[in-house]
Amino acid sequence: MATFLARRAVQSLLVLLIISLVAFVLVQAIPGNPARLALGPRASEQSVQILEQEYHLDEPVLSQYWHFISHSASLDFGSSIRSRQPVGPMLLDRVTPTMLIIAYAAFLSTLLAVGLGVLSAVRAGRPVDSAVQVGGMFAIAMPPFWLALMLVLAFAVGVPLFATTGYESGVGGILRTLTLPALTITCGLAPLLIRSVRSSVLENLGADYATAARSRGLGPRRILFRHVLRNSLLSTVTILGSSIAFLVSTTIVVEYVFAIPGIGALSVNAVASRDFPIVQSLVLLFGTLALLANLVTDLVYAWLDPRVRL
Amino acid sequence: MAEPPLLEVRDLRVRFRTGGRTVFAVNGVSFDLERGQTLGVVGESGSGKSAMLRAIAGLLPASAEMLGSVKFAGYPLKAEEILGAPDASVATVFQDPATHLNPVQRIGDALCETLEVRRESTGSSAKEEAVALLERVELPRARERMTSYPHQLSGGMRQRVMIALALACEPVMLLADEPTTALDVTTQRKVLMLLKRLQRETGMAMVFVSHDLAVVGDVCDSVAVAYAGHIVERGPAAELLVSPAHPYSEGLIRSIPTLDPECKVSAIGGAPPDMRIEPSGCPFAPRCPRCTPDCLDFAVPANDETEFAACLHPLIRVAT
Amino acid sequence: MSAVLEARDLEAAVVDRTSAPRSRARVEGIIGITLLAAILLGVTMVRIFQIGDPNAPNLGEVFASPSLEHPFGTDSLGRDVFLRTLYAGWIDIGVSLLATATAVVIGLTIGVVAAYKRGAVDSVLMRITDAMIAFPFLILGFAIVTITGPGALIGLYFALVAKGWPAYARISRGETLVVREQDYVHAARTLGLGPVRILVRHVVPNVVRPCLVFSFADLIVNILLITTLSYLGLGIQPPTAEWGAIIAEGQTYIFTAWWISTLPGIFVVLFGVSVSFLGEALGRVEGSWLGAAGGRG
Repeated sequence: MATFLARRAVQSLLVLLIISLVAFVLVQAIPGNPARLALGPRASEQSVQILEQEYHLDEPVLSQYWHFISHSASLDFGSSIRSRQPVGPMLLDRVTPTMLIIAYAAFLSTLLAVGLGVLSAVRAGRPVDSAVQVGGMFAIAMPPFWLALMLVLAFAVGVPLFATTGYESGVGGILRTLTLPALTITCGLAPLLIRSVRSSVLENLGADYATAARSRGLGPRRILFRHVLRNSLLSTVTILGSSIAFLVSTTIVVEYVFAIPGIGALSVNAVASRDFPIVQSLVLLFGTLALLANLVTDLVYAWLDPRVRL
Repeated sequence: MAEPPLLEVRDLRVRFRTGGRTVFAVNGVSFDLERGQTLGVVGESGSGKSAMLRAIAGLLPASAEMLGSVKFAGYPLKAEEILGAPDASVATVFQDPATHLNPVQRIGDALCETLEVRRESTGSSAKEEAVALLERVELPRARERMTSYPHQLSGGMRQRVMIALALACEPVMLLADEPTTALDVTTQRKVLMLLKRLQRETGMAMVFVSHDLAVVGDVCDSVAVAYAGHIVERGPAAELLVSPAHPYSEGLIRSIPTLDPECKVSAIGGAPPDMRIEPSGCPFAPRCPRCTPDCLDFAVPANDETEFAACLHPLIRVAT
Repeated sequence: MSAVLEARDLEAAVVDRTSAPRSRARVEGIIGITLLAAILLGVTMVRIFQIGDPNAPNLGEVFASPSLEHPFGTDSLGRDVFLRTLYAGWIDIGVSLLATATAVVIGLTIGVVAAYKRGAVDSVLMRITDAMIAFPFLILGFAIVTITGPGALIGLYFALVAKGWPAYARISRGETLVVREQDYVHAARTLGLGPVRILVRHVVPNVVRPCLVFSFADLIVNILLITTLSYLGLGIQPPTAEWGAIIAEGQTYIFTAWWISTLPGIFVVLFGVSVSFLGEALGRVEGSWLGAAGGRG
């Protein structure tokens, strides 16, 4: 376990380093001078130079990269070149709704996956199964922003049960404002998980240990829920863990449509205005998140499957 | 009227339908088994012996079609009935204990679960019973093993756990599907001794499927030889294995290598029939050294006697 | 009956139940092919024969609701939304297809090389793959599109390729690791065949299939991503017709002229579903190049 965590930590740092390098190169490659862009065309050459110095933009590329990673390592993300506000608190402020949406969507998707996955496995080849499968194909083919728009149309005009814009905190507020965004993301994620649960349940129902359990007179319900389900969730956990990058990307768009003050709008604007401290921090944040998700996946997997030793 | 036999199988047929093809796995098998008796079913790969056993146990997959009748203690047998029957219980021991135990369930939990379902015994009493069962199958350090997972045990220990799980059902009849094939030779011997001892203690009947004639001769009272989904010969173990009447049985016995340098090993020529074709005539005819034209058209029909050979030209049994 | 034969039978039984009935596969295949053919035919015909002008405003006919003349209605400038949707398909489908194909080739090459070389090469390539998988795609896409300048198709293409290849690298690495230990590959090596020949003749054919199976789902994802970038105003710029951009334009009028956003969206969904159906059906046909029964060989 200790060696596993140590090896994983080294690997993750390496991956983060590559991510930071890619982020840095991308930001460098965007045409236009960030300082000039931040100050506007009418700012004096002198004030542009001062800003450049402040953000080390006048230094060679390599030393710029060094400034970026050395500061990031000490959790100092600098300040926005545009608003001059520190990036750390700004991200912290906006990350809550984003994380809530992701967690909400992951929860809904898992719930649907277990329910519909087991149902369609047990009714394999019957109409219910076909309906779930075909429904999943439709759900997965919907552009998230379009689906979000359709939900807005339905809930703003039809049933005003949920808010279609903005974000409120508190349990009631979260349910009111984040349910539609979470549903939108669920439509893209749940079908993958449902498929995975369905095929693992079918595979495990036919497995030798299930036959043996049958031979001991255990009822089908018990075999399904006490034996097969746990074995079936193994592969599903992996898929859920590795879809975190997908979740983040979808959340950005969905937040944009529902006008939620999360990371989404921030990242769109930051790239457009070459606000590199924000872009780089966001990339590192999401990269770390994805790596953490992978780690949690492995831990959960090991917990579910005693054969796996970390 | 005499008491009905414990197990009465009449004209059992099993077909698997897979992907538009049909495999004729069992083609009309009949036999009886009395209480406390052990019947060995021997045959090569693909002879239908495991399918036979699974049909009796009610464990055929959904794609299988089963015809004929299987009666247990005089009552017609349906899968649900045999599995739920509280006092006339059947248990199965499988070939590969590695795959037949739930990999994510502690063996103690598996035993307690079975005890709970079969004997309505729960809590600490179930736990004590489970330990007692593990001790009965001679699992070393039984109490500690309760919290082990299957992958932490050796093959022989896993098979002992499987047997303990079967015992938890308090079977009147034990179905053993090549229970020692996956084990190494010394472990095989120990597990066989265990099965024999348990059978003596509990008085349960046993159907023992194996391709290993020596093992069957060791454990069983009578032997049935399976070929291409038929039972081609049945007789007392001591006689049949020494002096078979059916040419196939003879071939099978002659193909076992022995330590005797004088004894020649001979393989049976040809290959078993294609199980996807509906059989006609004697299934062994194409490979049989004693085959005559009659054999291609006519098969000796299934027979439920305890001693018979389904052959038009049987070898003469030498009295022993 | 041997354990082997029986195991196969039991497995077959389960597989039979796993997959949908053959009849459904056939129905899906027919629907998938028909729908896909109709969409592709419409998209290419309109483009090749330059039927109508998707960008010509017709101020006399703004916000016309769907009719026989304008199946998807008209937008704020009186342009026919259906015509624009068809023209947009050329760009969206074209770029996505090209990008998917490129990603398969790049990812497959990297995965096979990594798994075959092992050691340091493998470690480095896989860490890069991990990094690209963990990289938030949309920010990557934003950046690339910003670099190449708004409206440049090449930017969208690069963005999709950059996002796409790591998945294929992982798939093909995993498959190669399995295949390289197979007896026939050992045999080929013992016979003295060179590594390139072994890779091309024995390894790649086995690795291609899972990649192609995945590429059907990936193509749909790519369509969604390209429309997302354009929807956010980072991809193709107006007045050029593009699915995401059309939906974005219609968003302003969603409560008064619902069809401008809704109907092109349904068109996109139908395209995705037809690809899914086709992929599913091909995957179930035994012996086809995506068929399950092909096995590794």
